[in-house]
Amino acid sequence: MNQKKENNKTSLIWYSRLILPVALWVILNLCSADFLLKVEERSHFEFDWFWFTGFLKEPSGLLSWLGLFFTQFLYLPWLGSLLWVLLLTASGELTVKIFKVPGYLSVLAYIPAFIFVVYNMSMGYMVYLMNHPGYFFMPVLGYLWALFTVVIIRKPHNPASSLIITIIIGFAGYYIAGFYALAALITACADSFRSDRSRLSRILILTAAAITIVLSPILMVSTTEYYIGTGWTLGLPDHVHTVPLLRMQGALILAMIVLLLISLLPHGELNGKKYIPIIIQCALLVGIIASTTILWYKDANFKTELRMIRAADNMKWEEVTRILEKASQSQDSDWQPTRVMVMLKDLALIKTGKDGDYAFSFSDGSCEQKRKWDVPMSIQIGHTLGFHYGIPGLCQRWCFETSTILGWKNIIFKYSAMTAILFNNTALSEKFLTKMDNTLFYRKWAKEQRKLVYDRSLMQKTAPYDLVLPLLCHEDRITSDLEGCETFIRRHFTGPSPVHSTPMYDRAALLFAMKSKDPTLFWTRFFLYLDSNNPKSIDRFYQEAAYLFSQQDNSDPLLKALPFDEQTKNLYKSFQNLAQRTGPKDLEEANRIFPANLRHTFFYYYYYVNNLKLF
Amino acid sequence: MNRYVLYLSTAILLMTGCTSEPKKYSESTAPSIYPDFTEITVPSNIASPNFLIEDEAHSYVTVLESGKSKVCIKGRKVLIPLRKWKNLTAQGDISVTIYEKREKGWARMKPFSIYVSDEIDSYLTYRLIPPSFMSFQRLSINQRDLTSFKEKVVYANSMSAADDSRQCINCHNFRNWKTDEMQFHIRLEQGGTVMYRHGKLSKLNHKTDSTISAGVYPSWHPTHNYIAYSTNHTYQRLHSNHSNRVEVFDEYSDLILYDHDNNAVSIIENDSTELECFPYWTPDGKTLFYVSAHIGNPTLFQKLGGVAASTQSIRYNLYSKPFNPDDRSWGKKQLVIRADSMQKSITLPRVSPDGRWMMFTMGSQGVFHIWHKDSELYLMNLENGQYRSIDEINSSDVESYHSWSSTGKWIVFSTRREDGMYTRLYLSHLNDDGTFTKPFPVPQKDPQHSLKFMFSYNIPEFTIEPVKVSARELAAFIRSNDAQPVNYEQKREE
Repeated sequence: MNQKKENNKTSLIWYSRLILPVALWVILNLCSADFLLKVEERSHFEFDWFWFTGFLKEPSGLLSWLGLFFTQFLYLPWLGSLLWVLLLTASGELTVKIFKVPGYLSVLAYIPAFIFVVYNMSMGYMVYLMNHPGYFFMPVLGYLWALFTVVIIRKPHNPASSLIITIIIGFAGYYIAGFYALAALITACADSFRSDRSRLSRILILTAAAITIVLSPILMVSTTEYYIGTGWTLGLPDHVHTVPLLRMQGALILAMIVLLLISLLPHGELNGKKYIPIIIQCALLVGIIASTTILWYKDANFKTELRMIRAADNMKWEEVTRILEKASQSQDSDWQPTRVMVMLKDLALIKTGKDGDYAFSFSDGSCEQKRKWDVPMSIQIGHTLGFHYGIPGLCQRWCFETSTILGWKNIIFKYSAMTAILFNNTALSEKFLTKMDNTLFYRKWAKEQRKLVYDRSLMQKTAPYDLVLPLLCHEDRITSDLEGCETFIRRHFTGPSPVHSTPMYDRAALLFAMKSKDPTLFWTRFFLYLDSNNPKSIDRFYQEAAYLFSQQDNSDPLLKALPFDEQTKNLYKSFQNLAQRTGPKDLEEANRIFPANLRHTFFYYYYYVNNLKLF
Repeated sequence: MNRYVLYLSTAILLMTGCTSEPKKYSESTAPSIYPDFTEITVPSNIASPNFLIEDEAHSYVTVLESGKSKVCIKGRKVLIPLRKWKNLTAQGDISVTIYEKREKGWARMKPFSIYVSDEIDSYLTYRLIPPSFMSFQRLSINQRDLTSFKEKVVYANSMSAADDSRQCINCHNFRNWKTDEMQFHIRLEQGGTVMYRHGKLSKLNHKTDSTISAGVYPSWHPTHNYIAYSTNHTYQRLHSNHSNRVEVFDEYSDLILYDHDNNAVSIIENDSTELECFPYWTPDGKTLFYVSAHIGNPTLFQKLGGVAASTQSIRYNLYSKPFNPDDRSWGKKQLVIRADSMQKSITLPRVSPDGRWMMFTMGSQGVFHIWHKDSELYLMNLENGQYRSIDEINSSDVESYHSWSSTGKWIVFSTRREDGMYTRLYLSHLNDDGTFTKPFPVPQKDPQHSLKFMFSYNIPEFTIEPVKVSARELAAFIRSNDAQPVNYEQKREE
């Protein structure tokens, strides 16, 4: 009977240890695949000796390299996440085994793994700022190294051998895993005091570990170009931009402290009442699940942005607007998109030629991104916007700034290569494409792009160039984007018209003229649009803007006589009536008062969408 | 006895000969190699010019011969062992023959020569920087031993400041190709001009109330303890659709002289209608060359938007200014080349150590030619004032910063000829008639280094000895010392 109960208890523990990883893997794929893809595209791994040797120059470089090796598999989120979950599971299981964690506390062995999960999955917009290569997999790999270190130091019982092994594994470990190896030495010391080894052996291990912990970073720092303060924490993500060091490193240090505490846990099962272990087990499980759920970054706008950006990067322009439409439908009437969404939506509409009929049928606004730290739009999508809006200078700028600040990433290599192809720079295109040749998942892409390098005539009919070239008709301008990339793009399209314009460029320029709400600029662009596009009928929102501006007191009487659709006139009338009757003070109030058909008009944008915070 | 002689001869033959050199082959065209080291002239003490054979073949054998030495290397990557390379160069010019095994057997590619000439200064100091616009998270000043592949960090911006507050480090400069006296600037965090003089470090702030900025582009006086600097208010703008990418310009700039013994700066030139820059002393220290752009009425110019609004029409002329180093007095400036009348702009005048030549960079406009694809190197004969574009070393892409070796026989220059983006360093030998030999990139251990390396090299400066202060010492000093102020003194006119 007791044996049966014991079995049941074990089964519960066993099932929870089995179910949790499976559940995590399923949730990762169902809820966070877009995020995982973002992690992957903002990393880069090459099968190349020259590239590999670059990692050997610094301690923890090998761990970074290994981290990047695994990160590349997130290209297929199911596979990358599976590898991650397996590593996390291994870290928990091995902890139980190595430290003989009693059954009733075995969930504790999973706490470091869950800290790693929370660390990665609570990142949100921080994913744009992570500058440490391989950061996603490094914590769990570093943790596994720490477990390996403990096992190796345990092996010899001879004091002299213990001393030598500790020093060797300590120094070698520091070179391989940096901070994690140093943390491992502390755990190994604690572990040695719980074993049956001799007092001398323990003292020697302690001494060797202390020497290694103190000396290895100092020796490293004295031979390389590293800031002395970072010697002990090499291997942990560094301070970047406005994110405090504690946020970057705190959780990871905590995980290693938990490992140390686990190594000090009492051995053997709990005596006394049988249900207590189950209660403890359940309480730990609930705590872990609850804290992970709470801390997991779940912002809907962030998710929508990720999907829109991905669709734009893959030139799926219809999908860009569809994602936004779907996202806005599930929200309240006063929901506002973020500027990233607006810029991508406008871009997609320009690409699909639907700007005139749909540009203002989406809510506009400047909803703040839910993040604690400043992440400039330029760092998020400067390269995407610059390239697809036909401003290669802007794209190239943010490719190089991003690579300098945060390191080279697949997405940055892609846009760098495409910009070089656009500039007809064969050698530079080859340089970037060769980097992509060395990857596992972008070889095919590089091969396709290489065709364009040597046959530029293909560009006219190959995405994304076919829809970028029409926007590239503008003359070069020397300007500054210090005010932010959205302001830069607006200024670009509201600036001087190109000598040889294209229909697409004129539509984009007209759209941005409408957004500027400047009637003079609008009319200039409007007639250029009519001239180059020669539309059979004027698109809905252009007509609305033309009608609105023609009704202004100082407008030319000839403009009033333009053949506007009755529908436009009636809509304007309805809008005016409601506006005069209710007189909403701001956008929030207007959102509540105006029905959808009047909210989604240029009139509404003109009068109520003001003071947008541009980036 | 004879048997031993035979053994010995065989052993020597195996060591020096090429057992893998094909005996039967057909003749073929010139090989394609990267980097292009064909028909170049190299310094006798340079590291081996490792290269990659670009032709497609099943296997490769490269034979290098000079005098009695013969070296055979198998494989597509031709990595010449340093010791064997030194043996080859010691015997004079080298003949290189590449054999390529193809479908129809071995083909002997047309042999080429590597000519061996004067020694070069053993050390080259440069800055490694990603070709970014404004970010400089990863910057270091490195020194390369040109006789080997050893490279060491002189100072890196990660050594003194955390990741988010990195310094910009720039304008390293040595006096007379020796490293007893060295300087470089640090901007932002822990900023100042770091001076190393005969074992002593100091950090200075050259900015005074009477000067527009701290010292920027330096030129160390060859005989007296002076450094001429430009002072600059530098900005940059972005090209929306041009392969030049960036336009860097000065809204204001002047020239100052720093007198180390008196710890004082004085004005050399601060004409408000001019933008002066890039000072450089002649070897006797009695003339200062510099460039200057005329902007006319400064108030009106600023009203019209300043340089930012007219970057494409700002052009720099070349001037000289006599100087008496003993009493620090200046003569009147003299126009040397009026580049603006030719729709050109001169920068970076640098006089050869024998005072016979001056090399400068000339492009169609502006002051920062590293971003101008049309910028070329020019050579002026200071004896007759004639100058010419150095067509034998210029390329269709950027040529910019350049330095003379201490003997004046070699030059190093920065160029973007390889891919239009990443600056690489090329060497060339000056012949007695004022022509240059075919330029070649500084040899690297891995011949594909340039293709894969994601940093630019800039500000190459030769020295005859290694930097004497360690990076750690520099970092410790920079961290723990604030920049000291300097005094301001009135300019002395003749």
